[in-house]
Amino acid sequence: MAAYIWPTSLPNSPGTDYTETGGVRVLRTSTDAGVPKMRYIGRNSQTISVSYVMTNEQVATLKEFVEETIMGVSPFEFTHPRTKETVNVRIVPSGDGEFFTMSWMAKEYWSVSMKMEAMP
Amino acid sequence: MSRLATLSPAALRAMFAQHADDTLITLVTITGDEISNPIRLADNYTHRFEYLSDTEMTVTDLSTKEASVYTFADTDTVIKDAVVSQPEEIFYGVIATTPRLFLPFAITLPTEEPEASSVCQIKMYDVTRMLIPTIRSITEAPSVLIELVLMSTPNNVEAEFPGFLLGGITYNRDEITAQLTVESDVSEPFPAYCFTPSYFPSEF
Repeated sequence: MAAYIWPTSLPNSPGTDYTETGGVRVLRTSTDAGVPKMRYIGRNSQTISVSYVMTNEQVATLKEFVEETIMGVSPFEFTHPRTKETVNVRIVPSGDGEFFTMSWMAKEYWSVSMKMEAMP
Repeated sequence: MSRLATLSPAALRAMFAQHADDTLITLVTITGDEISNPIRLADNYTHRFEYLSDTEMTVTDLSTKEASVYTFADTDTVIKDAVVSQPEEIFYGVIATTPRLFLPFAITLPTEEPEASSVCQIKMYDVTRMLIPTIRSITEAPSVLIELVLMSTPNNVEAEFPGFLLGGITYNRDEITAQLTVESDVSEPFPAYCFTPSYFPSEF
């Protein structure tokens, strides 16, 4: 398993806007006529979109974890929100290295959203 | 003889069936005098490789989720260096007789024009810079062996294309592009001597 672990001080139950994808990698070739051909080519990562309510201290912990511990790229152990199994995930950056987005909710409370990929 | 004649029925089915649950994986082996141990790569993956110790790694079959311990052999230098030097990382690859690291690459076949030289191009997406140190150190073109295997039977080589040389290598921060050439007598000058006044003065 991965060497890093999602910090225990950070929340693990995402909000109601949680989404998850499933599937495998396939090649799909369109044809001039008829049904496209499809070929299985392997396992794929599953994308998990989560958002958490975090305090100022938790945001600081997340920021240090992403920027200093995993340096944005290393996988880490994470409890899957649906299956409750431990899986290896990476945070998927959007744009040019934006790993999470914080929105103000209330005094000292933030809504932090991010996209993760569960490694096959 | 057509290459199709050497392929197994399962490989043909994987290539041409309307719905195929198997696929061909391209294996590339790079060897040379300046490369101490073969660099074994695959363009797809069936297993996950994780660091266990400096002499072993955990290999997990992605289909069955079964994990086993693999002890590095003496010739596994490249994959051992990758896994041991980054124990926090997860690697992917294929167990085809020996373990092979997954590195996305694309091979462009030569054109079919009769007067065109038989030059393929290979583009490797080396984002983690696994190959760049080796590429920088070599001064002679290494040999390349290309093999095709089925994902379900990676130990059974369906087709092999030996004798390529890796030349014309260029790279940037995430891609290595090189030409795969075959030494051919057809492209050599013949005859060896030119009919010049110095060689054949009586001709002039």
